[in-house]
Amino acid sequence: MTDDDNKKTFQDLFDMIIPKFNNEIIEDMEKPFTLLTNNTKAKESKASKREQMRRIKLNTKKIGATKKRDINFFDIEYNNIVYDKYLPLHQLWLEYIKDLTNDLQNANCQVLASKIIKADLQGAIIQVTRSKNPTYIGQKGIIIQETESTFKIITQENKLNVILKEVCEFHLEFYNFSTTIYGKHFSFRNYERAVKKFKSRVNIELD
Amino acid sequence: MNVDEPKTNTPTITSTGPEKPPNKPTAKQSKKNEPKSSKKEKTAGISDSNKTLNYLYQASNLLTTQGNLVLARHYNKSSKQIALKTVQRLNKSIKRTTCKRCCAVLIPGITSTNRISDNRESHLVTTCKHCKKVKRFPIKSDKNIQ
Repeated sequence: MTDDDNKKTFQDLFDMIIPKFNNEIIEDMEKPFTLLTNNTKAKESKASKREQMRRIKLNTKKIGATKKRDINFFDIEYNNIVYDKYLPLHQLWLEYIKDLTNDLQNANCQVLASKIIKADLQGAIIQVTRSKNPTYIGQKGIIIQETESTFKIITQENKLNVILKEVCEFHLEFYNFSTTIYGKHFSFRNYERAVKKFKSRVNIELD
Repeated sequence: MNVDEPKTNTPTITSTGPEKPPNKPTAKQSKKNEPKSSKKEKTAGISDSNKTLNYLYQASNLLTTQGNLVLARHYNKSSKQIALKTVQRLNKSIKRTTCKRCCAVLIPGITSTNRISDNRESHLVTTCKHCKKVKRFPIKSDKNIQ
């Protein structure tokens, strides 16, 4: 009697612990079904890679000079037009000129003049003495840029001025020396002047 | 009965006298025996254009630290043009820190970004922030990059 009772209770316990399957679920599993595959992900990765390469190529193409001027690629920013920021540039230029002329030992004027013509004048203090245009006379400042026919100057009043070379005469000073430059015969580009040979003239044409 | 001694070919030693000292080189021979001097070392002096290139590179680096990027590009461009006219080559340390397209100074963190990529071989990739031009350097274990 007790054994039968124990068996029954043990069966009941065993049935409670183990989960039962519904008959409906078993019938559904036995039916035939089709697998759905996601092939669209593999195609998307290829297409996305092509778009990325296309965007990179568009961004890295060369832009012409006219489009760069529309973006103001060549203009100096408004924050940087301060006279005090360019004083350390001027100190660098003085050391550079001292090295060029061997500590100013050559008292011969022709050797000095031939070296100043080949040198780079960006960073020097310059003054305009004579010119056809009356507004140019008397301006003094540090040269920032040099192009084929102009100088760009910053004055002590924090103004950017563009001065034509062809019309003016200039006055350079450093340490103990001073020179005058005639702008009409000086209108060459930076790298062309370093190679060119200048002849000495007896008569200078001002017009 | 006479017994002749067998004739044997004994090696005979002939003396040439006392050893002579080796021939001392005379005055004429000494010039031939001297080791040939090495090739004449061509010492290229420092020319004027070298000093301008040096000055322009220093000035462009000064201006980038002050925040003036437009002028620094202009100075580097003129230095490239001067090196073209007077046929000279720039040092590799200068070429590796200037962008090839826009001629700006490349300072990692300020004007350029550095990454490492593993496509094909492991190499360093630096991109200019303005014009987005890419430079690649291969990484080798023994040699220095810069």
